[in-house]
Order: sequence, then C-alpha cells, then structure tokens
Amino acid sequence: MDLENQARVKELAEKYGAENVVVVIGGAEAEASGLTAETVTAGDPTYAGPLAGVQLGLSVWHIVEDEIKAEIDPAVYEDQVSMMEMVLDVDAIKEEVSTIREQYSKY
Amino acid sequence: MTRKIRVVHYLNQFFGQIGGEDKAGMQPMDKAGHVGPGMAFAAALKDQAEIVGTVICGDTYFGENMETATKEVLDLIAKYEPDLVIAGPAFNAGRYGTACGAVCSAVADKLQIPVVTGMYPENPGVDMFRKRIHIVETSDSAAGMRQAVPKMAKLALKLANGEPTDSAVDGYLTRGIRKNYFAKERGSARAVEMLVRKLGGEEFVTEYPMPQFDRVDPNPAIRDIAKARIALVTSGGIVP
Repeated sequence: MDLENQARVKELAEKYGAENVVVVIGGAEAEASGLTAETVTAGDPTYAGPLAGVQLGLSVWHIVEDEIKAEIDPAVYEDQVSMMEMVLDVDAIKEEVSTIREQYSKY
Repeated sequence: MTRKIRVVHYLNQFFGQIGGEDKAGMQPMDKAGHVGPGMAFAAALKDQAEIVGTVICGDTYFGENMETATKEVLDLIAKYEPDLVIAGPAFNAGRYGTACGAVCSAVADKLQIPVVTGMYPENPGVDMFRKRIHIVETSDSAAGMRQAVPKMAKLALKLANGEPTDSAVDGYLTRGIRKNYFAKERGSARAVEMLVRKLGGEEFVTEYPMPQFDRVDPNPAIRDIAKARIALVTSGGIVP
C-alpha cells in the first residue's frame, strides 16, 4: 500500500474514529490483499509508510467476500465486479483477508 | 550494566518515509533516532543496542553521484559516533541495494566498525559488495520485512560483540572466504561417503558448491523474418 493511501486511511480513521471506518479492498491477488489488510489493521508490515507501527485495527474486507457482496445491489455487483470475480482466485483472497481480519481487526 | 551499542541506520527516500520515485533525487539527510523499518530493528535489537540516528538518501541521487554521495552519507553517519551500521534491507531494489552496499563498504573501510545489510540474491548490489560486507539474504519484496529484520539484527549484534559468524547459521550470503579447519576424516574418505550417499539417493551437502550459470534456451529459429511481427520489451527504460 503506497505512502499516500496509508496517509489517507490514517487521516480518515482519525477524523471519523477507527470504529466508524470500514476498508473494502479490491486487490486482484491474495498476497497483495493480505498485505493491504494487514497494513490497515496491524500496521504497515514493510515499515515504509505512515502506518508503520500504527495498529488501527480497522474492519477490513475484500469486495468478493460474501458479507460485502450481500450489501451491494446485485445489478451493480454484476456490472462492476462479477467479471473479475470469475478470473480471480476468490477462495484464496477470502482466506487471506479473513485470517488477517480475525487476527487483527478490533471492530 | 554495559552501555548500549550505538547503531546508525541507512535508508532510501521510500523507506525513510520521504516519498516515492519523485523524491529519489534528494540529497542525504539525517534524523535522530529510528525511522520506518528502524522501528522494527529497534524492537529486534531490544536493550542491547539503540538506533541513535538514521541517514536517508534518494536512490537516484546516490546512483548519479556515487562518490560524493558516499562521502556525504559517511560524514552524516560518523557524526553519531556509531559502533555498528545497518543499511536497508534493500530486497530486490537495484539502486537501493547498490547504495546500501556502497555505504556499508565505505563505513567498514573508513570507520572500521561492523556493518550489515540485507538483499535478495539477484540484487546487483550483491555481486558488487558480497566479498566486502555481510549481506543477509532476504525475499525479493518488502513483504519479507518481518522475516529479514530479526535475521539482520541478530547478525549485527553478533558482529558488534565480536562473536564468530557462519553464513549457513546466520543466513548471510557467502563472502568467498575460506577458513581452514581440522576435519575428522580426510578428503578422500569424505568424498567417497558423499558419493555413496548420492548414489543411494540420500541427502548430502557439498563442500565446494559449483557456480550456477543462468542458461536460457534460445527460441526455435524464425522461419521467415520478413513476415515476423516484432515486439521490443524492456524494463530498463532505455527506449525513448
């Protein structure tokens, strides 16, 4: 996760309160999605950005997870996400992001 | 209680939290205490050592002004009177790896103190500096930070305390230094034993690793070059 996005997430969490922020990831690959999830929960694992050592513990999900999918208008989801859903390794992404969430999310 | 080992940490503009490629031209600067990955090192070094300062330099600036940049960085490092210098880790970032290697090598030469850096084996900095300094093997991307830091910190403390090191145990890339020792069996007996294990399909460890050549099989010949569609691919940015 680049420096600017880390700064944005940090700022939003401070502005609205960490308990009021939900991060939805659109990463196309499990490892990268896991790193993003880790960054907004346990802190930047690469220690390069503003979230290094900052444990925001945000609620973090991937767009392909069932709970998020259920919140979205099926027509919009079909239009925007379903194509990618077919080509991504959805199970690996779900596994990776949910593992991080269970371990580090505080909300 | 003995005093803490004084450590200076070298970082590029990205890990130094200054910015990305747009800040790669920045000149060397220093900050007291730890920055970015220095936080992880501070935790790994525990109460034995303290990062007293961090020196940050842009990768492009270092690469384009290697001689002056090395001197500038060295002066900033020397100001903190360190007992040990840690650089990177640089993973597979070529310019950063070269800078880490050059800084470590200069510190070892001029300040005569132990140095440790970390790189992926294919980083160009490895071949340039592996004989002169200790380079811990890391993964190819920053995702491997969590694994790299404890290994580097452990080796750094060993070096600072004057303890013996071993590339197989401490995870650094071999430096091509031969050490004599008395073996129980003579060479012929060891070689036969190794051969017997090899023939039996068992595991064995060579005493003299052969160089590995990166051979790439050429593609089959093109039948009619006049009709070929040619694409030019480069990751070096050398095509305008």
